[in-house]
Amino acid sequence: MLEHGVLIVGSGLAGMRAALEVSEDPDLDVALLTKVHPLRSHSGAAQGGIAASLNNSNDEDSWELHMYDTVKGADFLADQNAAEILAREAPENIFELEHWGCAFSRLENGLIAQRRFGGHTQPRAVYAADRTGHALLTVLFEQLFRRGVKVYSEWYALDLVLRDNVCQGVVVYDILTGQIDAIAAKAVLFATGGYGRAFQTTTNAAASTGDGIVMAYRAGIPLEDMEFVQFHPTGLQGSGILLSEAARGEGAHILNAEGRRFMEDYAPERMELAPRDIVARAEQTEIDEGRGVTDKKDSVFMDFSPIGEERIRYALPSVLHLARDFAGIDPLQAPVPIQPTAHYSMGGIPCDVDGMVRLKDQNDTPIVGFYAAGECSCVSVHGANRLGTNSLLEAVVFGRRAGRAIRTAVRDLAPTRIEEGDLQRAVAEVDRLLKGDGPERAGAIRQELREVMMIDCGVFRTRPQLENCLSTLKNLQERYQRIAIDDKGWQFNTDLVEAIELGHMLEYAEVIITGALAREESRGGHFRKDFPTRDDQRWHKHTLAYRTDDGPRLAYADVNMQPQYRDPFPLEERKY
Amino acid sequence: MPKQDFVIERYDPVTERSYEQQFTAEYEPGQTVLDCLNSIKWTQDGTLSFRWSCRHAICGSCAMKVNGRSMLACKTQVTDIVDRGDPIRVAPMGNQKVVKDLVVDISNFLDAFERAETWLQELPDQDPPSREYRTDKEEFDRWSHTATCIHCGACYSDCTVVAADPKFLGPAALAKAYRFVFDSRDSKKHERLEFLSEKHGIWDCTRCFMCIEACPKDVLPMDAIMELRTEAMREGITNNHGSRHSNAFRGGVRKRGRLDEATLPILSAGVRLGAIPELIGYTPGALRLLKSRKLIMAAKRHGANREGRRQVRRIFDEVEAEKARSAVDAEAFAAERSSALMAH
Amino acid sequence: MKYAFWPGCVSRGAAPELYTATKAVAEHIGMELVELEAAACTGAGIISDGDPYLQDVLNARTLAMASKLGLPLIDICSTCIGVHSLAVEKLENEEYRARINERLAPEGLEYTGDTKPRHLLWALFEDLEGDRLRSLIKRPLAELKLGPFYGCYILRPERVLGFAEHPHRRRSLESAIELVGASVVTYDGMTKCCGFPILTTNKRNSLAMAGGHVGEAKDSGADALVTPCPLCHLNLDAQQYDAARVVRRKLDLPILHLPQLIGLAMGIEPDKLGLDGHVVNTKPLLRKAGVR
Repeated sequence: MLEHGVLIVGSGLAGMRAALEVSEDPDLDVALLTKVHPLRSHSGAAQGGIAASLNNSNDEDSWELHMYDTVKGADFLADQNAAEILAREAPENIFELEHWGCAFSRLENGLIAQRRFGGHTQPRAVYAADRTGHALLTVLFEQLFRRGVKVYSEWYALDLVLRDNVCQGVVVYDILTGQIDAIAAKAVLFATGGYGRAFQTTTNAAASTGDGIVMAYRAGIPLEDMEFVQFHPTGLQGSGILLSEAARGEGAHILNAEGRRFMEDYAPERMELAPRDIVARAEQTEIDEGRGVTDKKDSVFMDFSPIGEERIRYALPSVLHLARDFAGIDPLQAPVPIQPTAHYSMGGIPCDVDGMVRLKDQNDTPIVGFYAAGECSCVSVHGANRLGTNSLLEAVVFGRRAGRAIRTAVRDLAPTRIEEGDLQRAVAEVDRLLKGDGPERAGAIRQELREVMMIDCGVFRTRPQLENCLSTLKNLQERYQRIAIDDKGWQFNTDLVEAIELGHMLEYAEVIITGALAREESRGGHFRKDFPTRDDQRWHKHTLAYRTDDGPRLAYADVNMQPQYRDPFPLEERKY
Repeated sequence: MPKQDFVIERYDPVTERSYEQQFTAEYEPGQTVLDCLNSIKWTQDGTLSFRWSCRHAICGSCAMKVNGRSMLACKTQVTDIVDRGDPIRVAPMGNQKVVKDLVVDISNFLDAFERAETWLQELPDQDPPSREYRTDKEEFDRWSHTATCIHCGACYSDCTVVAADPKFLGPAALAKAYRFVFDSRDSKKHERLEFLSEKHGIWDCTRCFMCIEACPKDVLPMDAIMELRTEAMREGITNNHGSRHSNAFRGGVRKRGRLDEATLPILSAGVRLGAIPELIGYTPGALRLLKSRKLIMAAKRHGANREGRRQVRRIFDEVEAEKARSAVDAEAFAAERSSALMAH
Repeated sequence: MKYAFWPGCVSRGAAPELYTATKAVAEHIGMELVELEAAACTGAGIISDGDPYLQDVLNARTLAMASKLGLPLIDICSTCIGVHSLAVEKLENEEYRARINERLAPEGLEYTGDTKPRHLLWALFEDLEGDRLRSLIKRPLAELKLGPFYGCYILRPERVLGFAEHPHRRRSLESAIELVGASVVTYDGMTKCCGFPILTTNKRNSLAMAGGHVGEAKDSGADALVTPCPLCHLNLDAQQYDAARVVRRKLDLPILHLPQLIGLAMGIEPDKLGLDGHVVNTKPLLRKAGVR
């Protein structure tokens, strides 16, 4: 049995930022546990930027405008106290990262450069070419290295241990040796990332399998707003690999088979720079109505020619290489076929603005010593749809806040303990998977899950589709009980890890579908063709899904409309 | 769908046995070596182990040897490397201990970054500005490409010096050190250059270009190492074999227009007491050289002709004066960097 | 076939047998070599350690000298061709080229970007008409198993070496071995660094590299190695006995210069190719080849 004062699970931006903050107190024993090496974390794949109203490229921006854009982008489902913090604390966070050496792109005058981004009314995306996430991840890892934070690299968390709403620690699996162990900690922070891997076409890395979310769910914590999944409009055809929104920020056009900038029909003012959900739906409509491009007619074109070669090379080098290496197309010569791709998980573990996990029930019950930050959490700053460049910002701002809160809280927390019985579920599950000799293969089940989620729970949804999706899922869950894996060994058993991840995917997919089925309206990333408008009367509220043996039980919570430093933004129609 | 054979070098950590195994995978044009490995794992043999995550060349997990060269499996299209029906050979990265199949222990690779302290070391006792530090574009362009390193280890795997000396810092860590040497926010430039000039550092690179060819992100590690050498010498850090060698070489060319092999070892070792064992170290080879008349021929040494020598000396003089006036060497590196980045 | 010939420092110094062999082969084929006697060392990437700009000026001067003669520049050393090719690439930058041309002006030289240097190895396959090269092979070396050893700079960086236009350059040395009728032995180290560049700075590493490659080639069944680089030759041949001590094994593997191999197969006598000037005895190899 291992023990640490504070255990951070997940080593992306939110996790590392929180770990650094906790390590400010030299007396605290903080460790970081991650199933991939910190430098491999999916935050590194974020491309376009991180938002902050620095006013480096203009002088009209303010935190209030940033907050307004965020709330409107969220289709008014964001908690306004959280959106306010996000926007207000953005600049100081950027400067801190810059002082640590982050390689942000620069203006001629030497200041940090900023550019336009979808849904933001001001040029406020701070960027490092089109590899902003990578630049941030690298600088945080450098700082982590410098401070000598203990890292359990390639350790996989299997279970969260709670007793009477008090967190005790985590059951863990050392991928290298195959040993199951437990780490007791007074405070545990989950920063385990999103859940996009349940969809066939996705920008997400293999690691984004919603592990932390499912661990919390299984421990009795409800999941919030899981039906809100963001489909990014510019994934490469086929693979779904992300082409940064920065391409549109820099001036790329999107064209249908007729060569027309069809966004003029959907968002005549903002055109290609409307928020992602709107552009993705516009694309899907064009495709569904037969105006798609290529032989498969399953995509539309992104045309880079308005940007110019020199600027593309300077500001979009990764986009240039991604199109060449993964689609075999040179954007300097030809338009690139793109399609909507599952990108970001708005839902997750409910928590407050200091990262403390709360049930968001009538008493707003806290889980003592359990925190969440980043994509796995639902604060909620993104509501029904996240604006580009707000995810890196959320990870940094709320990772830091959670770290600070933990640093203070942990002094007053009692030591925790993990008992033999707490390991039981994980040990039994690993044992079952290793010994299983049924006819089913994990690869096939995963494939079927991802296909049905994409088709029936994707950009557009209807009741019959969602019902079909749910029954297919139930069948897949049953088949999962009869799988056999090939690798029966202990060391570096990725076959086993992938099977456990599949179990997580099958669990949270059910929550997404159930929430989507119940929510009879269209808001942000959730679009019901049979209920195509927003219904504030009935649905201006967060979904909370509790785990039961019969599937998710839904409850609802109010949206916070009480920012601290200004009046709330009233609900209005969302037009661009 | 076309089919492709793969020969995969595997390693079983239980029996500690290495072996080759052949698989056949179907692929669609546009699919990558990683796609094929996953298809093998998911449909044929789940025990095959390798790391991967982002599948678009940013997380750095899936570096391995494909047909003998280190590269990212996710970035390597099958159609680009199929050669007359030969199987594609996949093996774990080199210069690192294999853990299982294509998974290697990257701790030695990562240790180098820690040894080189590749993080920003700001000025002590000085508060940072209330906003950002200003960084001029020229400085940013000098090092920003090195900041794109994804720590995949492909350069380290192919590095010919690491193969001979596991303590060599290696291309990636040196390229990262370069970035901090030229980052005006860092306060340890001179100390860094002194450390990097020691054994296992910049002067141990053989300039073989392997790292530049292996790097999937255009970090140009070797060019960074070369610029560090120039900068270290400019900072007067010359009490080492490498810069003495360079100076001795340069001196020979200045004098005769050509390389002066005979005196080079003596000058490089440095005329000092401690150098004697090193000089003696040259004698067994030198005896054989004498026997084969090689040293005598080297000593006879043809230089450039009289006119050539005169012109070369003029150029040396003028360049020295020019160097004092402007940053010509930085310009030389910038010219190389821009053409290299443009070509990639 | 007339070339501006840059022999490189080493063929005029410690590896004179390369110079001898090159002259003999060129004469035999009918290549006219106009030696650039006033040209300077390329700097070999070593002058550029401290003086990258100076090295570029020296190489621009050599390129301009060839240009003034109106002849293509030919090198017989992997390092020279690599450094010259890198200089060509850098000098495509007009601003930089103009600055450098100022240093050449006093002698009336100017580099205009019109000289593409080539190595003898490439020229053999690219410049001779039709089957002429093959027809000159009078003494096929069918008994020999030979390993190529390229030297880094004739292989990397690919972008400056014209591999896109001349894909055969990737395996030109294998082609040369096949041309003379010998069989090719491949091994891992054949495209790696010989270690010479760090011989004086880190002798142990350098010799470990040389010894490793030679040993590996020997284990793969090679009777000898062939190299287009005299610097590699110095480390692989002249240092071979010291390298053998570092890798703790007996090596005794002869290392041939490229023109020595071609010359032998063309029927030129071994003593005219300087084969007696090596550190590792080449006589057993010649006997095996049936030359003596």
